[in-house]
Amino acid sequence: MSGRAPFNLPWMTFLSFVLVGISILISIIWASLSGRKK
Amino acid sequence: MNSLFIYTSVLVVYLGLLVLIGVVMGRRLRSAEDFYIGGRNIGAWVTALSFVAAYFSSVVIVGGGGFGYKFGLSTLWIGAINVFLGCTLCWIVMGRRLREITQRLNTMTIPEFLYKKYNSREAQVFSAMVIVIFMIVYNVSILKGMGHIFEGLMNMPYAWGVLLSGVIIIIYVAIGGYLAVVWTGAFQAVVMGAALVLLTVFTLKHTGGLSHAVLSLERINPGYVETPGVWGWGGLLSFALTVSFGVWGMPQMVIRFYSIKNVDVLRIGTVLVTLGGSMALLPYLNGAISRILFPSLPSSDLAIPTLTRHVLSDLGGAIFLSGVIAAGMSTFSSVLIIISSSLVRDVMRVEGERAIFLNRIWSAVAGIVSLLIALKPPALVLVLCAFAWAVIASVTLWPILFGIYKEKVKKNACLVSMGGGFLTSLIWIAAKNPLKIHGFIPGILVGLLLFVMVDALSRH
Repeated sequence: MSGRAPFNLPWMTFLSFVLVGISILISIIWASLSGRKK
Repeated sequence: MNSLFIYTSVLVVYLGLLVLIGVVMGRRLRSAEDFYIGGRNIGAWVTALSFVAAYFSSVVIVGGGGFGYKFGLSTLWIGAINVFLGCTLCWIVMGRRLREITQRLNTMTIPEFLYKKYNSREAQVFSAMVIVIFMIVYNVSILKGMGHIFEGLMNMPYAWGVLLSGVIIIIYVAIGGYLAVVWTGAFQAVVMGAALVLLTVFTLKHTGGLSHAVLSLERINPGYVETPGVWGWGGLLSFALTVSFGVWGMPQMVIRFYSIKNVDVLRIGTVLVTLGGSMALLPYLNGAISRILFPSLPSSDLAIPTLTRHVLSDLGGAIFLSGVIAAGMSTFSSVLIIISSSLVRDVMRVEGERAIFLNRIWSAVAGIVSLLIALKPPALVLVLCAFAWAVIASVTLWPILFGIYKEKVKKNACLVSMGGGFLTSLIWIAAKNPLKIHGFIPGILVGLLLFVMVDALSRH
């Protein structure tokens, strides 16, 4: 990846926000799946 | 005078509320189980919020901001890994299992779980002693963070700030036990979150928005916006892992799974804890950006207090101060109850009515000892905190994790892993973290290796 991510951040720094987004997504998916299993 | 009045009024109301919660919860205390784990009857919101409050103390707000100031925006990764590993994955991997097994074994503390799972009194006493000693170190770092905040925002002498916050916490923990800890924790998480959002909004407004702030910071030094930037991968990642994966072995965190009402509550709790945990990025962000406004502070721990004073009004500053105190108090109180329960239930093995009385006494003693050390503490806030976490997690993490996932586990594996993890992390930190890698990493690696090897050898 080259250039800048949103907010002029370097991509590697911006990815920290992406990781938070992924965590939220995982928690929602896990919560709905583990509920369905029962 | 006027600003002092605003600060004092907000604080008095806030601290009064905390003591009130302590008194109300104290009346609900019926048994030792209530004191230790709230009678295993805590719902999703309160559990998730109090988990976040116990996790992110004044250490994260003041010390995290300090790290942001010192190392720049790459420290956002610490917050992000906190959310992913320390909140989301921790709840998914440990929550259900720990809740079920601790109820089945009827245990109320981590050392007691190790005792029953591994049938080892040695594991119980050793882990309890490590918890007691290093939790006091952790408490010192929390009080130090609070002292700095009072100092920076109210011009109150550092020692007074430490004393004021310490005494209030000791009172409500001794009166209200775990119930007071979780309920004040949940309340405090909300105050903390609001305070951090408030500070961030005003900081960004002051620095022309995030895009502009990033460019300004880059002009000072490009290393402050890049990852790993001025810190380097070794330091950044090993520190982030210590304060994220470390959660998995920290008794004041995983005890939340003991006390949750039922396993269904864990589902909604996991989402809530992830959302709430996201606030962890804000101190690092604010700390890094504060360098634009104050390029040469005498100590990086002063970044957040100085920033607050600069960008917020008196009322805003008072609310923020309450938020930081909230963060510190909720963690300190969670830690106090862990110390007293380790001593009373695991080392002294007292149960019943007398246990509640002794817990009250010992939580007060542990609080006072932490307070006295905090009056003249060594090292930076976050350095102290990471030291305590590294040692405790190196001892408890693998025995807990293997204990909840493996049906049959060997006592020797647990003991050798604990001893090896303990010594490795301690020696590594004493050697000043060679290769810029924090002692937690070699501590848990050695602990894992020893556990697996000794477990396999004991079977042959």
